Amino acid sequence: MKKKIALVTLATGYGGPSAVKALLAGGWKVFCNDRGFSDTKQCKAFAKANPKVKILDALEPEKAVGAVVKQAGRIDLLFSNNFVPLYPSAVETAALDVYRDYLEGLTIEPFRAARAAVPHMKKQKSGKIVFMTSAGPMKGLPNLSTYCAARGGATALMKALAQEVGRFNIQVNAIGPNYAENPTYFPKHILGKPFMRKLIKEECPIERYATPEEMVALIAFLAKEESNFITSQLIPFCGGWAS
Amino acid sequence: MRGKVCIVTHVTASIGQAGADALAKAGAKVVVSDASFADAKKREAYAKAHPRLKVTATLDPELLVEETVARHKRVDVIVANASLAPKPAQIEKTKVKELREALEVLAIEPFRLAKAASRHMKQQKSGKIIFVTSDAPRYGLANHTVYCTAQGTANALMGTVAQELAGANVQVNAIAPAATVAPTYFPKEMMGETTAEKVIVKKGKGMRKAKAAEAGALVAFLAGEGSDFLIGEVIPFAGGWI
Repeated sequence: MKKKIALVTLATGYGGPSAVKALLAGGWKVFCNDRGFSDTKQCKAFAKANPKVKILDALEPEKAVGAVVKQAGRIDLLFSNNFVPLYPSAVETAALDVYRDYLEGLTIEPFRAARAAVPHMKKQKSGKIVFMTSAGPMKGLPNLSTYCAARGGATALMKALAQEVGRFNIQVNAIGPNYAENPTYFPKHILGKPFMRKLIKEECPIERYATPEEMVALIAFLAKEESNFITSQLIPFCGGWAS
Repeated sequence: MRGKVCIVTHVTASIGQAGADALAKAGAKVVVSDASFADAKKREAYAKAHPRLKVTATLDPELLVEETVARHKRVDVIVANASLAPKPAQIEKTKVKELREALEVLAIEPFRLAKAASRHMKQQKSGKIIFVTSDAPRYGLANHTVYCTAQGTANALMGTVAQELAGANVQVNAIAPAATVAPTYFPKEMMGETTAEKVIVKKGKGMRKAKAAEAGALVAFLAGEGSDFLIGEVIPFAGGWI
């Protein structure tokens, strides 16, 4: 069987490393881009650590999707992995510029990636789109109102798009993490700190954080054909934090 | 509502007029803004027709809040009544620019209003912010990715701002009107070729258009003290529409 083709955007952060791991293990051919790849050193280090991954120069979502289709002839999975740095602030002082950056990075970028990938998937009469959003808007994160807004927008995009493209055998879902180990928001050294352990015990019914391996398992499942009946869903990945 | 100061934006759109009338009837001072008020003739005609409302040509959200507080000493209620005509299109036929514009109107403008008002409301230790949004993002609407994304952003913003301000006795909620409120509140440009009546008949026999007084009553309820226990809710105003 020919290898299935995946694009993982911004591969070194948030759900990127877990997605790459899950897809390679599942026999996928994986294309990646990253903001850090413009730095030759970083790019070479990633290539060395991930010799099977195809590295893309293109950072713009449309160009990245275009490059995958040009090189591989198709795109079977778009893993739109979006993240931006956080600047917590109360609503009355939250900067409008920061909100606009959140929207650009967390809401508009996944929209652009999906918008570019959908025509190819429609032609193929199959495809999967997974958005890395957040569990945040399900419960609300204090002092991160504009961040939650942008994440909630991406989740809403997922729902609307799933309704639109279901009849083309395209499944669209989102993963909504909180307290899941990842290099961007919850690196291990922060999760190990006493205040964090206390917080997780108070906030998470499961009283622990998720390991990257658990994230790998979830992404592997959503990438499989066996999960095709699941579409239009936000999968909370937060140990019961949001319910 | 006597002594309360309210702001209703885009008063001629969506449930703006119904909300403003209901708040004024309940005794509140109601400041209303609208893009059409930039035209002095239209503004004067509107003011003459609605003598109970305080008409302003100011559209800038921060300025609107600050001018209101300067003139009336406080701000108790914000009805962020931004609306946008959803243009049905498959995602690949949309323009990214359209999403940016929709976010500007539906998600950024309400944020600017809430941000500006929350400072005063925290000092007053009371306030109500009502976002007029949509329930469509909850279930997703095919060929409306732009609209649903922007309204979903607005709902998520509302929910987290609500959590944050609850401790300051400021309640934030959303009203999600469906097309059942048309055509008075969903003008023709929003409905396209489909009239509200046609859509409603398709949806079910028991369905009908909402009355202005019903929309007004909901706004007045969410603006009043009786609804203090409601925080961060999206309340569909839809007559059974799902």
